[in-house]
Amino acid sequence: MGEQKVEKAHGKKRKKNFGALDSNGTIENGTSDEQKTAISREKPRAFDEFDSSDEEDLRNTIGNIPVEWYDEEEHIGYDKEGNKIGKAKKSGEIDTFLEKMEDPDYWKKVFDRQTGQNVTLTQEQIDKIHAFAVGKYPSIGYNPYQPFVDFYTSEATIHPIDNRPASKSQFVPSKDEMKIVSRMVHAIKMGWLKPKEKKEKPKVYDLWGEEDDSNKTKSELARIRMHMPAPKLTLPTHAESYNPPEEYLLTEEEKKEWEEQDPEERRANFVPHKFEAMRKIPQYEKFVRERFERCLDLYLAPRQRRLKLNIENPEQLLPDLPNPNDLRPFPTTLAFYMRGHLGQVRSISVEPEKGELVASGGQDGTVRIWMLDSGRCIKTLDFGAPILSVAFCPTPNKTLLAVSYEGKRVALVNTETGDKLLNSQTTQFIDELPLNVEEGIPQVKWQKQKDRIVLEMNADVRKVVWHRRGDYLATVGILDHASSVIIHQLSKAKSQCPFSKKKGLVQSVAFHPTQPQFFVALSRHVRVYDLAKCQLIKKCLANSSHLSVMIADNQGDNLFVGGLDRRFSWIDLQLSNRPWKSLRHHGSAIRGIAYHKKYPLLATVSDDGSALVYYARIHTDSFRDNELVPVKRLRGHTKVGDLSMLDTAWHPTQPWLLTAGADGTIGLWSY
Amino acid sequence: MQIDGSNERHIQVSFFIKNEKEISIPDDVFDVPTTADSENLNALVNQSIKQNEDDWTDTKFELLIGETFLRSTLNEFIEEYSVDTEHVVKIECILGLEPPKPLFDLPAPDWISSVHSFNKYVLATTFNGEILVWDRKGKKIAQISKDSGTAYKCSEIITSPKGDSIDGLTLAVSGEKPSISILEFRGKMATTLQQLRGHERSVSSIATNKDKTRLISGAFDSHLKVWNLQESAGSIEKPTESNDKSKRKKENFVTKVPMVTLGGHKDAVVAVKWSAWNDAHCVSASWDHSIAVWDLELAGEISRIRHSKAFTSIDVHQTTGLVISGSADSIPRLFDTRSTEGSLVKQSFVGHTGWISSVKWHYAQPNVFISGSFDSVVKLWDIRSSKTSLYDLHGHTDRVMCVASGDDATILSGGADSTVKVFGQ
Repeated sequence: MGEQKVEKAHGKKRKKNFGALDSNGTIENGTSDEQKTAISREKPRAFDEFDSSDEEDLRNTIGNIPVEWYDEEEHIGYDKEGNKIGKAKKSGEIDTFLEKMEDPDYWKKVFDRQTGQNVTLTQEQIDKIHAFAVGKYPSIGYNPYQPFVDFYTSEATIHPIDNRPASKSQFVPSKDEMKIVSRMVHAIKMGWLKPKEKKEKPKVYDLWGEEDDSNKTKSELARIRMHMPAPKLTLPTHAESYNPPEEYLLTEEEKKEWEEQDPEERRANFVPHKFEAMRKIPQYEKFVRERFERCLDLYLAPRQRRLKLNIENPEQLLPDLPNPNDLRPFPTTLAFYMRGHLGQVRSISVEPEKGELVASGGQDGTVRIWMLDSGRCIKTLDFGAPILSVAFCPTPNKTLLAVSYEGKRVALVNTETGDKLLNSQTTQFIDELPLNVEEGIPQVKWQKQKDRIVLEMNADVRKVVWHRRGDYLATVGILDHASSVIIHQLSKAKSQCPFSKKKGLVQSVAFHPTQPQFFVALSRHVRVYDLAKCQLIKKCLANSSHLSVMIADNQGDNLFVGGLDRRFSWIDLQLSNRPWKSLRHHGSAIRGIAYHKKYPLLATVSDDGSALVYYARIHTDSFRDNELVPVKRLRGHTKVGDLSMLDTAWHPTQPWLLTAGADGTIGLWSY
Repeated sequence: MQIDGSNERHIQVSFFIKNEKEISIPDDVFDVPTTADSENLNALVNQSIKQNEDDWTDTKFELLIGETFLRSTLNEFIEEYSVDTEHVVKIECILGLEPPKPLFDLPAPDWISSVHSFNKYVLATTFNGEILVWDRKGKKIAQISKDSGTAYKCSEIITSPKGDSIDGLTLAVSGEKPSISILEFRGKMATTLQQLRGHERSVSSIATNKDKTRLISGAFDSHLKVWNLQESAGSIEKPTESNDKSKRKKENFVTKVPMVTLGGHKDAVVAVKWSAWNDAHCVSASWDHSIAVWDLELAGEISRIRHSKAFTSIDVHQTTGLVISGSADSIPRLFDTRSTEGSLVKQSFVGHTGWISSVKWHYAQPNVFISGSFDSVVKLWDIRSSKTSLYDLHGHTDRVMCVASGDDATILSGGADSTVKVFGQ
């Protein structure tokens, strides 16, 4: 600090010096003679005031006293001997002028007050003065920019700059640092010291950067996309014109009326005016108000966007179903009704393979055999009690029909129609059944009555179902007991109860066509049993509260169930134990379901008097989805009470559907 | 009138007639408005004939333009068939078929499965196994209930007696019972001459060839069988069977087995007919959606026409060989068994609303056929007019099961209302 102060003081001094020199310089540079004289007059004083005495060659010995003190004296000082030094005679102006004219060195002469004489300046002094004047260094030839020698250059040198040997500390590890490091290590170990968290840089928002939609949120994008242009102003009409046609101008009465009206009620918010010329239109006094109101309108305008669905045709909303024409053949029209039954036709069954004959069982206690090509009833078997279910034996080498009728009986009858040879074989088969074997269960009694086998059951049987091989027959009794399901084996004339525990009211049963599996439909779910191992395999839930019918497809991989709650469900057993598809296309309880043996056709019949035909393709290739397309609704049969169609069956070879009606007719539907 | 006429388009037509030597139609060219229909033109033709022949009585002509009958107005016809109207349109006049009049309504005890007409008689079989014969006055001559209780589905007259009696009439019948019986009428009784056994399921169609030596049958067991009708040919006496029968009725008949069995159909054979050209060929139609032509000498199939629907009935025209078919829908279709390329269906005749149960070519008219349908209507069609039938014969109250065309231009039909209707001139 001390140094700095000294330097400052010194600088001041130098500045003062420069200031003096400056004044000198200006004097010296002056071009007019008068100025020069003025300078010469002042100059000695400056010298006296500031220059040290030892620099001067002093012949005047007055010492360090201002020369002005001698202004009124005759002398200006004293010399070494003490003699007065007299003042130089003041030359007159003419003399000065003459001297100026004659002496070429006049401009170099300077008046010295000390001595009172003019002194001629040397060339060196003049140069110096000149250097001062132009602001250069006073010493002539001084170069302030000495060549710079850069010792510590970036260039690698082969020799050291100095010859000093490296200090010891340079290669001996520092003990202090070691201490610091060990302390830090310890601190880290103890967990006192934690690495400094990186300070996050303050995020800077690039206001003018490129917009990038990718990192915008959905709502932001939506806002950008949801551009809402301001509602347009209505264009001016003739009434707004400065020169409207006469009919737009208001009459006195109209004007009066307009004025009396509330502003909201007025038809127009202005009165049309007529002006002779454009220049006569006054300033529009409502301009600001109108602008303001417009802004208010825009501000208060509802910003809710109407959800706009771009629907060109309403069919777009429907699922993409294939054209039913591509899914032909399927039954479309009624061919004829087969009439004969009195009362309901409860059940129908088509002869397997050939499909010439149809058996139907009715409330009137008869089973009728019909020829399908003509619709002719060729045989009537009277059982004397309302028939509940009929089923043809599915093997083509037997003309056997299972009939369940009221009175807790199931009969196995030879139809005695069709192939004579098969008829006789069937008769022989019936005759040879080992009926006297005392085996099986007490609920069923096998008897032979004339030409037929009658099974006395424990309950009325609502459904008889054959196994595909034709040896086993399952019956479902209308009984809330475990023994409601009984499986009968024909060849041994034996019956057995597969279930020992009641699981619920059994509605329908079905055999797996190829494997020893058995499907049991309870009111809410379907159970799949393995008959060989006697165990439950699967329990499937049907989306139905009260199942009524169930059938298996030809491979046994799918189950079709229908319920009294109008729901039809397709259960793909390989897929899940929930229905693959569940439909409610009927207006009333579903009574019957049938799946075609050859064509991918499925039909459901219902109490609403309609049969629905579906195109139901089951792909054996498990990678492809099954197809279910409703293709036709067939309406027929008159309603009797709440019942209309009670059962349905497909023709084995043709795409023809048979429906059993509550009105005593059987409908044949062909395409 | 003239103002009205000025707006109409007019075309030039001329009429001509072929094959009718007695009638001569003037060769004049008429300028007729296109709104004219066939009745207007008929009147015009009759008028022009009258100018030449004074004693002309008005007759109804069918007007044929090109190959199609004019059934609508000229305008519609021209638009539909794009007729060239630059030149004179030549209209052929054909003596129209007289509208058939209902002659008889013959009641039967059961549904009629087949009807035939021979000499002056009408023969019908029922679904209850009865054979009924009426004479042409509508009087029932005979009722034979040999196989009462089993349905007859088809019958074929083998020989019809000469003269005014049914004695000597031989008939082949079959149905639900798969054997085919050859019956001979003697008085009011019929005796079984032969029994043809071999079919497993009900026989739906039988047909004999022209010289009545062979019989073919198609049945629900999907087989066609060929039988030899000549006596003592290929016959097998079945002692057990005949003993069985003899217990019931003292009858001596020959039991025969088929000469050839033709298997090729996949479903029930519902109609068989002999080919028109070749005595050894026959045509069959089946529920497996196909019509097959068989060569009986080779015992094999020659050609097959596949269709999309199950057939119910066919008939082969005896001169042209065209096959008219009825199927399990409402459209009779015309097939040509010779064509193998292009559209196999030559014509479709739209008009019925139920299954076509039976089709038959008209006995006398070469282009006319009869169809009976489950909509209880019998229709007469001309193959040159597929849009509308010639005549609709109403009368049945239930499904029509069979139709026939008698040699005296009668049309017979039997149905599920247990009546045989006879229409004629």
